[in-house]
Amino acid sequence: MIVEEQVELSEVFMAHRSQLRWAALKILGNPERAEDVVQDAYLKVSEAAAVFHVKQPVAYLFQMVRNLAIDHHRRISFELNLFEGEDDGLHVPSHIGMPEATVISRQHLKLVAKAISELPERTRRAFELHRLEGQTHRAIAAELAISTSLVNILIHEAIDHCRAALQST
Amino acid sequence: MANSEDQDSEQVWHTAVEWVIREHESLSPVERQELIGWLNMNPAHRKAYDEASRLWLITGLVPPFEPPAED
Repeated sequence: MIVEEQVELSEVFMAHRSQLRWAALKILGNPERAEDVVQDAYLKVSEAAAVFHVKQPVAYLFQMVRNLAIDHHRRISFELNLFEGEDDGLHVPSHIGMPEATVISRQHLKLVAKAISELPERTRRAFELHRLEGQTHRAIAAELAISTSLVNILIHEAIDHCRAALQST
Repeated sequence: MANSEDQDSEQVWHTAVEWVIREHESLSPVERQELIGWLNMNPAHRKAYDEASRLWLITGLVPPFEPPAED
């Protein structure tokens, strides 16, 4: 079963490679960076697949590429901003070096997954809707029938709990 | 400020997480400048922000929780 999933993941990756690269390119505006992010996403998703049961590999891969492209772009534009004091928007000059990919260990993945599973259901739901489904505070508030300020508090609680789980190691 | 150092670092952490959350929903150029200003204010801000971003990335790799199957 696990072997099948692993095979499936790399097949899914190969089958969607050009769309994944395009998704990264739209965010990064640079083909080389897009390629790097797609590679990084594949490595991270392989790590995650070794730890978790990934039910929807296509959606998961696209989500990871998007997450990593945003993270990558954010880091480049900060380096620019911090040194030049100007926001260059989405078009990052290519002379800025590649930021190092963030290394994420299997142990940290497991600890964070455990921490999330320990959250009270409403907290976990609010966090997943925000983090994994990209919903706004307002949409989450409507779905859970709570205020937007409570949504914000729950998301903070979820993150703080994950942080504590990593700090205790 | 009369805050103890612990309260200060909790406050910095909270602000860092708040920025990461807001960034996830998208920042206007003005907000982005505000964030950059905050990051440049103090190395501890940058450190907390980097930690929060990394945690954010990890949580994004965790698939949705599935309760153990019943019956």
